[in-house]
Amino acid sequence: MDGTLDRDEKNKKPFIRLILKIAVCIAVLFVIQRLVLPKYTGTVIEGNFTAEYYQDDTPHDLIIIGNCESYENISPMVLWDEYGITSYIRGNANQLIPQSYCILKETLRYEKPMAVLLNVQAMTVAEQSSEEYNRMVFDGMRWSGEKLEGIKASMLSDEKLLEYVFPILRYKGRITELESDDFRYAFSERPVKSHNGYYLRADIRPYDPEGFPYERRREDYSFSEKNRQYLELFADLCEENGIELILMKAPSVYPVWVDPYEEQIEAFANDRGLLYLNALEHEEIGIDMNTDTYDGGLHLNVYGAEKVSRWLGGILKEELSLPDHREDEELSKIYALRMAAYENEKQEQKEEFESIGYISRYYNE
Amino acid sequence: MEYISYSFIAFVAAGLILYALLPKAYGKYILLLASLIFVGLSGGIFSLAFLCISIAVTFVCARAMERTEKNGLRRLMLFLTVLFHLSLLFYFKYQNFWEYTKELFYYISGSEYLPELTERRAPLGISFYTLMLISYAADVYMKKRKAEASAASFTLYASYFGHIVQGPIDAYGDVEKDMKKPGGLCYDDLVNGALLAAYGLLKKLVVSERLGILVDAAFSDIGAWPWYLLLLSAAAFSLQLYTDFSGCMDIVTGVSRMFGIRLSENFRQPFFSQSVAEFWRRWHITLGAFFRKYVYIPLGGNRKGQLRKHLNTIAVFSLSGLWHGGNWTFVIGTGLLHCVYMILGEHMRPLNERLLGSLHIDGSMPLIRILRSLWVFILVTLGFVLFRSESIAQAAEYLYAIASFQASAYGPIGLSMIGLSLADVILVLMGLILIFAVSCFRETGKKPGPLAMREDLALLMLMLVIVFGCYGRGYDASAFIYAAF
Repeated sequence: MDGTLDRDEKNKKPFIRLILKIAVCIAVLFVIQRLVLPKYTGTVIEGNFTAEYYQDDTPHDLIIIGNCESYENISPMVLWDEYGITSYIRGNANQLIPQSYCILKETLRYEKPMAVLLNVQAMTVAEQSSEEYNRMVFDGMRWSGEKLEGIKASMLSDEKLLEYVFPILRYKGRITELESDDFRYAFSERPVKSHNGYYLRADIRPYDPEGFPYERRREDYSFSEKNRQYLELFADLCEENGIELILMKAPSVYPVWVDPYEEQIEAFANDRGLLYLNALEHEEIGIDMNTDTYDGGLHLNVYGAEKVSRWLGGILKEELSLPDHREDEELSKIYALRMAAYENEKQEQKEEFESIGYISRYYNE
Repeated sequence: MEYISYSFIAFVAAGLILYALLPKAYGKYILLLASLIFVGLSGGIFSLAFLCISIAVTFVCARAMERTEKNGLRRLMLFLTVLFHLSLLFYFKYQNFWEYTKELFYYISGSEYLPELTERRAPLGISFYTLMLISYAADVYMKKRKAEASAASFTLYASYFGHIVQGPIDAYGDVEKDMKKPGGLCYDDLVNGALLAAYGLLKKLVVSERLGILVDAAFSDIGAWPWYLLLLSAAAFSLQLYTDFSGCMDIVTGVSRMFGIRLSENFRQPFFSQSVAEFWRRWHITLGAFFRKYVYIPLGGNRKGQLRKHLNTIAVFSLSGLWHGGNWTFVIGTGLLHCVYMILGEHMRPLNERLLGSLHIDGSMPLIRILRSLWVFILVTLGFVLFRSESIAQAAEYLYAIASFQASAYGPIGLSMIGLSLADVILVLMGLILIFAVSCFRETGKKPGPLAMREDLALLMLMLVIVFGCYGRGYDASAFIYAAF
């Protein structure tokens, strides 16, 4: 009996030893993975946006979802300051419609907003143009069924799901080019770069009609079947959760928003009884492409975004009766700090732009 | 499914789990099923169909040979088997040989000819399983072995996923025991196999892929790079080919070991060779063994005089070069050029020994051995330049650029112009030092250390591969050079 026990113990030892060794290897690889994950602390800060949402524990009545037309053209700070609307932008560079759907689904795990505003420009983008955009959407996203669904729905043909599950497999090449921020933020949260998901730019580059390539004529302007399906799912999800869905086209002049796009969105909005706002058709916003854009008309700067937000806030108040939370003491305190940070950054960028003609942190762009 | 892919890792893991869960008696059938799935997934139904037909033809002919004592009938069976296999091989692999021959003749006559090449998809592993099946049929014909009665064992031999893509070209007798009754799971084999596979991955993904960046840059713009970079990249190609091919052999041998299958050795520190003849006994050993056993010896070997010996050598090396592909770059680069080396080497040996003797130098002293190895490396590298080139004209341009000390068209050369970083260079150098150290250890014939140490090494190498390997987006690491043959 004792002999059997001894033998069992003897057999167990190498097994336990191997498990311990594998555990050590996994721990080392985990540390390396944290180091090599991009920190987006340089000129491209957009990769932080998905993860920053989890740091905000205040509730939001309005969630704005979409690509750069959402996170660069609407300022939640103005919506708060002028209307008391609590909002957050869950947007990323070139965020596709299926990705927006999955992000909405994920958002509903954490909160249930009264309204969701979806920027519809992404309906014209059938598939992802570069892996980096997918990575910026998903790398900072917490693991969930929604993340998995989003990755599967938008992965490029040469991307591998396993490389999302274990990002070290994708980013291991960065091991030889690590910077101080990679060590600093390997295990600590990076400072918040956005203002409730808004990407603040206070530099100005006026609209230049020659600055963009001519829009190539297409035979068929129909949105892709996949985008149409996900837009339906998006609307269904809002309906199921009693959320008001608003569709919006931002006032960017490029890429050109042609009539067939407008007609398809209008038809969808009418069909589903949704509010659709095309900011290109509202001159009362007062957008001046000589002063309100930082890249010649592709995206608005903070001055343009504030104009759009003032206009949008008025409509949201009127159409959806979103409550004014400015009387809420706790929220007011939090937003006062955020407003100060927002104004401070705006002022800093303004002064730097007036002084040297560009914003140095985006100099490499 | 390529050997370097996440799906292959999952495939092996699934196989090992089945191996562990099912009784040992099912081992052969698990491997057979896995191999057929592997061929189907990697080469499609097309490859699977050709493989099955080839196996069936060989199996039936070998059985027929065994049933009769009539020599004529036996010879006819062997002839039909060989004819069948070589016909398929020629159809799929040599459709452009005539075009390449015309290109060579035009080049020799000083004019240019653009060959009209025909793309033809070949069944997966046809070059490798064709030789294995011919060797089996020949052995049965020569009564060196009995025809296999078990269709399952024989099918496993020909289709086995560990050697069908790039070899080793195992003779049936060498793996018969394992094909009939695989060893089953054993912890020692698992650790040894994992260690070997991890070492192969390190060779391929850390060293070979980075060397490939330099080589590709040099060969894509021969006229622009300086002579010293072309010289460096020629040497780099020899090392790339070695780390790529032997890396793959280590991976498949290691994985096979995990399943209790022992494949034949295909590389034995080839760059330690003291002569070109020895190089071919250490490089692609199973291919050399095939041609020695089934071509050189039946032709008379070295028993019929010096002239016949040389002619037999020429025949063997021509066929070996041709086996790599229907292009004269292969026929000369890995074939005829080596014949010249070997014949000259044989005639020069007495002179060499006399010279060393007159200088009172011991030919076995380390420095002389190192110099000899270096000389062999230079000679084979010359052949590999042809092997890597798309045509004889390109190889000539490459070698002429080195010989004429061509200047750089880009001015001073920086690493970034080649596509490498300083870190890449350091990793390659460290990898090569590791490979050299392992080769020295293997050369001593000593047994590897205790099990716990092998576990540590396997895990360490796997981690190095994960962190420093060139794989994923931006790399086509799955493409082994020899998988194209």
